[in-house]
Amino acid sequence: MSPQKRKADRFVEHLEPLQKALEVYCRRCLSDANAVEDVLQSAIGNAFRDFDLFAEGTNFRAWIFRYVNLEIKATNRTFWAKSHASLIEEPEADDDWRLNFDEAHFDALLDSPDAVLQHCDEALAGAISLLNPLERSVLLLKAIGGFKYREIADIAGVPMGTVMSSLARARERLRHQLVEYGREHGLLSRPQTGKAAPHENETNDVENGEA
Amino acid sequence: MSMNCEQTRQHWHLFHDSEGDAELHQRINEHLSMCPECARWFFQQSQLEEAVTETLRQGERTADMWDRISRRAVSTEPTAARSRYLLGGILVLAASMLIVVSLVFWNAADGSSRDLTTLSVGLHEKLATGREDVKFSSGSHIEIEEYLRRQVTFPVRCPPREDAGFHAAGGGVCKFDQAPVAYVVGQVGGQRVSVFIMSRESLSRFPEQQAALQRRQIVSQQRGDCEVVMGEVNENLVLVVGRVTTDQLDRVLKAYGSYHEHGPQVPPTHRASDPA
Repeated sequence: MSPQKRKADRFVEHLEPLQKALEVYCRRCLSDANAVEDVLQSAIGNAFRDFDLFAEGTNFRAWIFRYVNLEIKATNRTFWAKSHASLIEEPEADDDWRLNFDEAHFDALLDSPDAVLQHCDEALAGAISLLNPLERSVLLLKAIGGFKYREIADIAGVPMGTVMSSLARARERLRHQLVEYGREHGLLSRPQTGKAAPHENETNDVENGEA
Repeated sequence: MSMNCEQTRQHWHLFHDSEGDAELHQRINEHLSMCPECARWFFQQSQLEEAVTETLRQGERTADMWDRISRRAVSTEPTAARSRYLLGGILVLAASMLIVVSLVFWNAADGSSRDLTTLSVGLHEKLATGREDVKFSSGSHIEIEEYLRRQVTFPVRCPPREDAGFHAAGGGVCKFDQAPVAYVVGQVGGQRVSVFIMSRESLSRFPEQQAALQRRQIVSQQRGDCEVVMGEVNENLVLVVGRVTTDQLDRVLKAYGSYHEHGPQVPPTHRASDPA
């Protein structure tokens, strides 16, 4: 067997179990839904070209996601540059929603998330598209790739602190969108009892061992 | 120093994602064990996050597209050698027929080769009796987790916590019917117990267990003196094997990948299979 064939076999062996996750990640991340195959083609081609640099026994999953992520980033930039000729970068998502956060409906969402999530794949996709590019990547790398923070930091090329803050913001935004969707479509009912709010007195109870 | 509710809730992301240091998790657990409101709040947050994650993960692999990508990106064939294609084609055809015939005979001789329970019990017995060496020996959950994460491409979570009665001793990797498997060995009540971890996708190779897990979230089976309890935990298919009671194995399975020691009774990570 030729060295090239051996390389191809090893590469495919690593790649096959990850194909579904890579494709789902790509579909969720790309601004242009028609670019999925081109992006994956290019990323996989580049990764195979560099496969000699991959150290066997290390984390292939994170390694291949890095290639796909780079390609997605480049494609999204091109897409935005074409469709918004006056903009250089994608606009940052605004924080206005924080002012109108509907806590009562959020409690209802916490009580029965499936009531909303079973009906809203399209709304979820829309909410994802409203995130800024880094928040979107970090959230999807966590959810679809199942990566640790340090792996996400490597893949996205950002510090770990940025990963943590981006993930927290992305989750908050997404939840807000779900609440809005659930409220507008009558999927959430306001809870009848008050919610469990954190209370400062707990500190003393805990410290005194009285709780 | 203990944390108050506000401080505890600020660290939910780290707790939910199994990030941060062990001391932080310990302090959070201490607070949750004494504060039912926060325990409920953590449970609800995690439940919602798991439901969102599950929805985001939904999607199919487009076989045609991946075939095209593989052909173009990973092609090693020479471009202008039709005679070699022809010869290669004949050889591939002959090899395929040989493989098919071999597989038919092999399966006829060993009907259990695709039975996941039998495979896991077989390896557990070898590991427990020392006929198979454990590749990596350590009592540290973190060391075992890091070792396994370097060995396999699918996500692996931390070994079951000691408060579930499982005392880890090491780990390694192997294959069941060509599917990669990470395993953790340890003891429950003085008896050797093995935890086998696979990617959820691997389940499609084992029709009997796949059918069983479509009916129930957690399945118990027995082979000889060994009990096996299996279930899907997030992105993993997890089997716990040993000569102990199914309740003990069930407890270990539910503690897999969870740092949540004193919270609500139902961990949010164990889910039923997607319908076929």
